[in-house]
Amino acid sequence: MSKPKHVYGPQDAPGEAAEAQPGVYPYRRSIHQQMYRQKLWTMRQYSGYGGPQQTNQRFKQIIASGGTGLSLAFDLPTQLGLDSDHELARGEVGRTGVAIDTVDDMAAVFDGIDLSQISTSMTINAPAAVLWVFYMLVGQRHGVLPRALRGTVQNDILKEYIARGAYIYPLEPNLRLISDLFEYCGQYTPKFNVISVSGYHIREAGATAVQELAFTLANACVYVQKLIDSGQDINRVGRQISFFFSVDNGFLEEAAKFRAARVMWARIMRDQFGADVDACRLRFHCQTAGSSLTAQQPDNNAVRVALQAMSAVLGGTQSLHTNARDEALGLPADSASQLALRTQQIIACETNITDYVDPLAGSYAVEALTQQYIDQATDLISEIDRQGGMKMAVESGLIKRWVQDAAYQRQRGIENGSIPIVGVNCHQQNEQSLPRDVLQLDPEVETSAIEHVQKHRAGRDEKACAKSLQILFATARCSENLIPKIEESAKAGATVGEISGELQKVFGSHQPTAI
Amino acid sequence: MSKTLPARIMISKPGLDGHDRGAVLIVQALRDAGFDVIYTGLRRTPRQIAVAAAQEDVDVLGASCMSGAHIVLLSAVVKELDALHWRPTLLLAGGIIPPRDVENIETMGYSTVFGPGTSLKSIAEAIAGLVPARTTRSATSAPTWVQMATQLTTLELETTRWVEKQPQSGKIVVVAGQGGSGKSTLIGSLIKVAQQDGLKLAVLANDPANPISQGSILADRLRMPMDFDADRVLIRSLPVHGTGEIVASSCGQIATTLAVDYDLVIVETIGVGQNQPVAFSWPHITVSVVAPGSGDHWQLRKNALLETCHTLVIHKCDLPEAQRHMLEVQQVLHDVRGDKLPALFKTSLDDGASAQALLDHLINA
Repeated sequence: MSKPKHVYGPQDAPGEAAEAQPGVYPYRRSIHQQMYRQKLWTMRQYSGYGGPQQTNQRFKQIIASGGTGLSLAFDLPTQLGLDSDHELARGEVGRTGVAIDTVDDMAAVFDGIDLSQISTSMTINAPAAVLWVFYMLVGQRHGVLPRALRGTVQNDILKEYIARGAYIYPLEPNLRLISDLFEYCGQYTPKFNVISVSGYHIREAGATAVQELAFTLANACVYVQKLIDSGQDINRVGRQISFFFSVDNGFLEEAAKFRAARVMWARIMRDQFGADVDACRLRFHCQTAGSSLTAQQPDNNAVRVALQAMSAVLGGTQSLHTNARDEALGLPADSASQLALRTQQIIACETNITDYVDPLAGSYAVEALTQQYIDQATDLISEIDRQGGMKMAVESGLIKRWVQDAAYQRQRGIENGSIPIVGVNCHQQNEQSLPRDVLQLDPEVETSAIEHVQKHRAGRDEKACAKSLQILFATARCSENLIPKIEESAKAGATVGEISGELQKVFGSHQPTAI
Repeated sequence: MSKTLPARIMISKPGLDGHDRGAVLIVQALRDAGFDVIYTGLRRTPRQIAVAAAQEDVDVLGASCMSGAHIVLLSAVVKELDALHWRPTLLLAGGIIPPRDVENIETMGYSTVFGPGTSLKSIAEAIAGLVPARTTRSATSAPTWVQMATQLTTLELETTRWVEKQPQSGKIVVVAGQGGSGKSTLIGSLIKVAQQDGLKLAVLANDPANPISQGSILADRLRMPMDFDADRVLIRSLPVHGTGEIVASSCGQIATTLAVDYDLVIVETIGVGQNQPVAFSWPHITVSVVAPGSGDHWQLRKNALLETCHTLVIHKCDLPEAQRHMLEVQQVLHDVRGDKLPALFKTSLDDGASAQALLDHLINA
C-alpha cells in the first residue's frame, strides 16, 4: 500500500462509495441490511487439544461462557490422514488439536452438545471429506437430520500448498475430493459451507494484506471453476463457499480490506461466473493475527486482540475468533481463553458499535483505502493470470516465494526499527523469563489414543471393513462420487488413516517445489 | 594450502508441522549473513534429518518445531545423530518452546534454544560467534559413508589447482542444463533406479553463492528424494565460491575421491553459464539436459553444450509442447553435429523406465 496522505478529502473517495447501500450489490458496505442490529456475529473460538473427552469439556466450557459457535482444531496426524498409532505421529498426538481416528472419537467430542442448535467449523483440509462424514454420522447418532446440521469444513487445499503445509494429495485429485463433497453436501447438508477459502494462513505466513486478498480470491476462483466444470449450480456454489481472513494491526486498513474483499468477490461472481446478485455475498470468518502476538510483554497482546477484533466488527465480519494473550508462547491457558472471548462480548454488549451498520462508510480515508485495496489486489490477480494462472502459480511455488519475500521484508523492517512493535523494538523493558501458566499436555493422551485405536481395530468386523476399503479404492480409480464410499467405510469402522491411506494409493502425494 | 569457507548450516523441520515461515526467514537471513545454508523442507523424520546433516557434514544443525512435539522430536534427532556416531559442531533448536522445556532440551545437547520473539540478527550473531567458519570433524567410529562425508570437508577446504589421479572405479557424469530444465528431479529418478539395481551412487550438487554476501542457499537437495539407503546413496551440496579453475579442481578432487567408492558420481552443475562446455580436466561424461520451455530454436543454437555433449537428455517429455520441442532439438543437433550425434534419451517426470535406460547407458558408457 502507498504511504498515507496528509489529509483525505472528498476527491479521494470514489463516486460509487457515496451510492453504496448496506445489503445491496456489490456489498461494499455490508452483505445484510441490518447487520448486527439484527444478528450478532458468531463468537467462534478455535479450540481442541488432547483426547476427545478433553476437547468435549473445553467445548462445553465455551458454550457455558457464551460462545455461540464451535470451531474444532485437529492434531497434525489427523490433518495429515494418519492414525494416532502411526510411526510419524510420535510426539504429535493431541498437540495442535484433538486426535480423531474413528467415528467414536468424533462422537465423544460432541457428547451432550445439541448439533441442531450450534454450528461447527472444522479446520480440516486434505481429509475434509472423511471428517465431514464422521460429523454427519455423529449427527445421525444424535437423531439430527443432515439438513439441520450447520457448519463449515475448511477444505481449502490451495492455501495448504502455499502456506500451511498440511497437504496429502496432489492438487487435481484433491480438487476432485472437494467437488465430490460439494455435490454431496448440496443434497444432504445445504446449511454447510463446503469450502472456507482462507487468506488467514497466507497472511500468517508473511503475506501483505494485498497479497492476502488477491491470493484468497484467486484460490476461490480455482474452486468455483472446478465446481462449475463438474456441473454444479453457480448460485449454490455462491451460497456454500465462505471465506476466512486475518485481522491484523492496521486498524482502518483491515476494516477497508474486508470492504474491498466484498466488492471484488461480488464482481467476480457476477461478471466472471454469472451468479445472481444474491449468491455474490462474501461471508467471512475472521481471526485476530497470531503473528502479531509478541512473546515480549505478553499482556500487551490482550490490547492488540481487542483492537483487531474491533476492526473486524467494523469491517462486517460474520464470525470471529479472538486470540488469547499467551499464544506466542504455547497453547492458551483457561484464563487467557476466557479473556479472549470476553473481549468479543465487551465489544458486542458495551460499545454500541453493533447499533450502526458499516459506520466507517463515508470516511474519506476508509473509502480511499477500500479503493486502493480493490485496485491493487485486482492488479495482482491480473499478474497471476499473466504468469499462467493461479493453479500453475501455486504448483510452481511462485506464490509461496512471493509470500516468503514479503515475510523477509517485514521481518527486516521490524529488526531495523522501521516497523515499530511495542515491547519488541520500542518501549522495551527488562523482563525476567516469566514462568507462565501455558497449557501443558498430559503425555498419557498419546498412549491412550494409541491403545484406543488399536482396540477399535480389534473389535470391528475386519472383513466388512476391508471390503469397504476395497470398494473405496476401486471408486477412487474411476470418476464416481467418492463420498458415499467414504461413508460406507466409516460405518464399517475404517479409521481416518485407513480411508486416507486408501485414497493415497490411487492419488499419490503432493511433491512441494523447492524454495 | 587451505582456504576459509563460510560455516555450513542446515535448518530442519522435524515432525508433521507445516509452519515454516520462521525456518525460511532464518534460512534467508543466514544466507545474507554470509553462511552456506541448506533447508530440509517440511515434514522430515529425525532419521532423514540426521542422515542429511551427516552427508553434508554441516557445522551447524538447527531444528525448528512449532507443534508442541519438540521434546519427542528434538531428542529423536539427537538419538539418530548418535546412531551415526557423528555430531555437528553446534546443535540449535527453535520454535514455540515454553521456558519450562529449555533446560531439558539443552541437556539433550542443543547449545541454544531460540524461542518466540528472537530476532534474526541475534541468531546470525550467535552462530557467527560460535562457529565463524567451515571446520572439519572427525568421525572415526562412524559408518564408512559418514567418514567419507567428513573427508570431503577436508577436500573442500584445500586449495588445489590440479586433480590428483585416483584409482577410480566409478564413472563421473557431469549433468548440465539451464535452470528449470529439471536436472535435480532427473537425478532424483536416477537415485531411485540406482538403488533398485544395488548400485552405489553419489551426487555432488553445485549451487552458486551470492556474490555480495558470499552466502548461499543450497536448494538442490530439496528436490531429491529423502528416503534412501544412506549406505548406497550420498548427496552432497557444494557451494560455488569464486570462479574458474579453483572451483573446477575442487569439485574434481571431490568427484574423483567419491568415484573410488561409488559406482556412479553425478556432478550437477550450477545454474549459470550452463550452456557452455564444461572445461573440467578430469575424466567425465557430459550429459546435457534440455526441456520444453527452455528456449526457442535460436536459443537452442546458442547452447554450445549441444555441440560437445556425450549424451543429450530431453526431459519433461510428458509436457504437451514436448513433441515440437523434440523436433526443434533434433533439427539443431543435425545442423551443428551432422551425423556425429550424441546418445539421445527422452525422459519424463515419474517415469522409472526412461530413468533406468539412461542409468544403464551411463554405467556402460
